[in-house]
Amino acid sequence: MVSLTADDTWLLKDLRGFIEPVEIYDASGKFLGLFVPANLERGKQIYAEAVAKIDRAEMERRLQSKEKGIPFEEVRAHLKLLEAEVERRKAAGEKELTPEEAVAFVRSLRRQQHAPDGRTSESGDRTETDRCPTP
Amino acid sequence: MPYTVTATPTALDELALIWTMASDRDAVSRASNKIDAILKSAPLGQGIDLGDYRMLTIEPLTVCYTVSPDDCLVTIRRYIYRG
Repeated sequence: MVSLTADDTWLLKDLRGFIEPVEIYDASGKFLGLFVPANLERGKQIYAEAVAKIDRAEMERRLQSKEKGIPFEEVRAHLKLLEAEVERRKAAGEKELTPEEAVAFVRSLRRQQHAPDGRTSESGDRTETDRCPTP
Repeated sequence: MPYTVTATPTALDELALIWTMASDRDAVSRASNKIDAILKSAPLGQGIDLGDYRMLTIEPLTVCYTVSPDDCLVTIRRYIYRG
């Protein structure tokens, strides 16, 4: 089950991406209704396939990893810059980025972002009175 | 206060790889943004629970993530693409 707050950014094509029932709320928290994908069995199958793709040892390593998380705003910005680089190359008639070059590109952005003299975009400025929503 | 959604560097590399190789890059970008929007509000109630972590799919992406309620922090640890 998924729940979301509807606003102008949710489009029909977004609903097509759901593979399980979705509770839809308005901005005031009022329950508007339930969206149920036509083929729920397909959703179960997709999750089963995704679970089967996961190497348990590799996942365990990732769960134990001390890698510091990158705020999603930064992830989104890096994807935008990657997209801009792809477009720039296309416009300049240069060869396309290979997948390996794309990964190297986002790694270089990360290095620049977190260079000792650069600003970082960590989002840890919270007070003890701030609370996250109860699930 | 909403949860802060983060991705590990390894997961971000994975997303860049997926985006580059995807036949519909816009769909990958949209799905990753929507996953962020959903996980910000109530990450423990979404998708399926696999014990140590949870999994959420908005096609064409699936994410594996962990939640730290004390820090209001969601960490995406893996992206899986279904193209």
